[in-house]
Amino acid sequence: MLKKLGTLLSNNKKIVIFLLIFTLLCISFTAFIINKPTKTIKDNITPLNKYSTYNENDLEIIEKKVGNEEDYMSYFQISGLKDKNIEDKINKNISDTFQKLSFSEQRGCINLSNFNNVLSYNCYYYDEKTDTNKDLYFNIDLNTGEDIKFDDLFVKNVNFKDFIPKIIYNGLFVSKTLDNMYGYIDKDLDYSEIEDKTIEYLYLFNKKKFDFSVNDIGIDIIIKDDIFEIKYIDNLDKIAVFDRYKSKESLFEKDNIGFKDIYIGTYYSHDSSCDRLGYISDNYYTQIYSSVDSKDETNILNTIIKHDLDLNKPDSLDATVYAADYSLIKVSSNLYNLYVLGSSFKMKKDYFKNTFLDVLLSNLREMKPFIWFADYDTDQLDKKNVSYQSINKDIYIDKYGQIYKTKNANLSDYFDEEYDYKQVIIDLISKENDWFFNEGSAEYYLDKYKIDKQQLLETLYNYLSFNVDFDDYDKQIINVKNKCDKDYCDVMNIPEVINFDIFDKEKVRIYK
Amino acid sequence: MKKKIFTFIFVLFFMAIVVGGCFIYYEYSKGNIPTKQIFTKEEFPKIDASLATQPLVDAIYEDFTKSSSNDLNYTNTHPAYVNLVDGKVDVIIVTEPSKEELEYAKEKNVELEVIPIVNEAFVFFVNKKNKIDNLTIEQIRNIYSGEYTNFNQVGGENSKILAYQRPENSGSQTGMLSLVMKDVKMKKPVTEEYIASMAGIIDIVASFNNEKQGIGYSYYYYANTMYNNENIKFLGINGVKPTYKTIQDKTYPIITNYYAVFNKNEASDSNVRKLVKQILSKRGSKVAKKAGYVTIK
Repeated sequence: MLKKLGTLLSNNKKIVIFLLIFTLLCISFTAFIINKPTKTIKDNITPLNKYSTYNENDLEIIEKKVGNEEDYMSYFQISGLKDKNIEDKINKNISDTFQKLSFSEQRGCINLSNFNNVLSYNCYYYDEKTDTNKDLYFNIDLNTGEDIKFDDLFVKNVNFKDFIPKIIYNGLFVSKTLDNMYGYIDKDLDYSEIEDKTIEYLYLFNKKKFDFSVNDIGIDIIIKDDIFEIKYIDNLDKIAVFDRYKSKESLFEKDNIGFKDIYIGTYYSHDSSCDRLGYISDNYYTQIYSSVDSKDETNILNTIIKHDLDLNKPDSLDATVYAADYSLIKVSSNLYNLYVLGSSFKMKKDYFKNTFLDVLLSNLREMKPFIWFADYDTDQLDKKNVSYQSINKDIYIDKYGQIYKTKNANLSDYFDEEYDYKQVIIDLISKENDWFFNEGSAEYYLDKYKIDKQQLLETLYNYLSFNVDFDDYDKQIINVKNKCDKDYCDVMNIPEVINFDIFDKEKVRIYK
Repeated sequence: MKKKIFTFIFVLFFMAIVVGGCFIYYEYSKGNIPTKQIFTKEEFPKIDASLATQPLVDAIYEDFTKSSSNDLNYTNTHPAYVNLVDGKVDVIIVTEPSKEELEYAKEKNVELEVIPIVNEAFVFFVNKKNKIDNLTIEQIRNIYSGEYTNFNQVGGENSKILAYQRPENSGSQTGMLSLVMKDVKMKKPVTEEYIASMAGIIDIVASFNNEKQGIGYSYYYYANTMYNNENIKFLGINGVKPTYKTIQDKTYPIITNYYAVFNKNEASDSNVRKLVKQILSKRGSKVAKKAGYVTIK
């Protein structure tokens, strides 16, 4: 047989050449196919333009209670979509999920966010095995009623390695740091496991072992119950969620719904009431407490627009002005901000005027936003020499992951030399305007309203309940009570923020 | 006529073989050729791992058992050693045992067998704009002991050195001390360097502000997994750049390993030894490489 084959091939050189060429072609073609670069997926979704618009979302969220009025579990249904088939489909999915969790005595489905044409919600249940509540997350495209895939929130071919590792690392770092109640980086804290944990979480992320929920400021990734936020503002070139789910016409029943300006150039407010009141989802954002009344809104707006700073500049900050009457001004802009140490600081007025202001002014620093300073407990009222140093750490971190070092800049650096900026601050702080010294959760005022001991105690009790161990309540209240030796106490708050607009603009260097 | 038919059949047969071979090679290169199950889930030894080696163990488990690794639970290096010595697991994939772990094993009369399964390297990096491309280990020690404070002392530009360190007790910091500094004492980081160690060295080194000043370090696997930063460059050490090849053939000078550790009393035909053998096989190496690790040559 072989002999026959040999004879055949030796007599048919053309066949041999043909077979050789065929073999070479086949190998070359295979090599070409293997090494051919992966085809780039074309996508007409462009990176996020923060000055563009998105669909107004008028979805109505209807809570459905199961059980009696006092002891119930709840889920929700949506209403307001034009396409009732899609609406029914979404509602059925929500109620089905709720039913599937009926093995748990504690369960529910809650709406997390709805913006543009996107709905995000989660259902939770109690897991007996681990004795914890477990969460399931759902993100729905209101155009179709289908689940949103994580990758579709981003432009095509996005390289997650460019930003996810850093987000996870920072998230773990922040979480570890905030274990420290004062929120500063403490050299004694053990950060040693963060590297390894980052690798582990990144691995889980790459294996798609994570949940996510999406809102109009960012995307939360949930890995092993830890939440990491992808902030749109930090990733404009990668975000597709607004563009991809936007529709030319409103999907909602009300025809007058239009488009909203995207305002993602910020982080969540550190004033939780602003989140709760929905200012963020309404494109309003409060960050700067402004000492103006509503008639000055236009001036503020003009000032901000005039001084609109480039987002990419390292020192620029995002802000929106919060007017005195609490009517908010919508801006998409950046503004330099000045933060004053002593947030939620409470003390006697005399002490404030005689001692603290000097300490305050001599220690003012320019900070990046959201510095989360330690609150002083009320027993600080006792101490004559309140030490700024006790909270002055070199390195701060906020709960949103911004890490920064305090600069040793003096406040005077921001003003012309001859300008008496201290007097402006003193005047401002000394004003007896109700709004200024009014802390929403604690109803006490300076001088103008004298509150009796009972009111004070109730107020302080409310205050203390959020700041000290339960065991210390009585002791601390007695301490405070002892200090209120007359009919009333002068207790006040130092404003968290002083906006530069209280100063003469001609004298402020950054405005020049 | 017969001859022609024979020729025709042979040519067809030959072409079919060539096309089939090419197809199989294509599928193989894409990883689509199914491999055989080596262990059932029940046969697979009870295993634990360090956080940094969990991806490797997951990949091995999935390939060898053809099952999802979702049910595997891990602790971390030290508890893994304790679990092994206490007999709660059969094998662990970890960094080398510490003195404390060896003592614990001795105390419990357990002799550990430690087999390197993948290579790891300790790497240094600077900003891409830094003119330094290579340092000797001695120069690195001088920098991190505080003796050298300017890049011009190691052949670079006249620029202050910011020698970033990692958090104390972290894997990288431990590696730096044991693999590089050895008996030389590391200087105490200044605040600026300390901040960077927290915020992630590579980002800091890559940032514009530190373009000529920063130097940092990490494990190769960590740096490669974590970062896609185009603004840093790995430094050659004693003239050798850290690459997959130089780490695999150990020409790069600062090399360590991840190990399979198990009880020396394991029988020669035990599943543990079978597993280690399979990890070191061609197939195991392919799985490890795919998971991002540098295999042993």
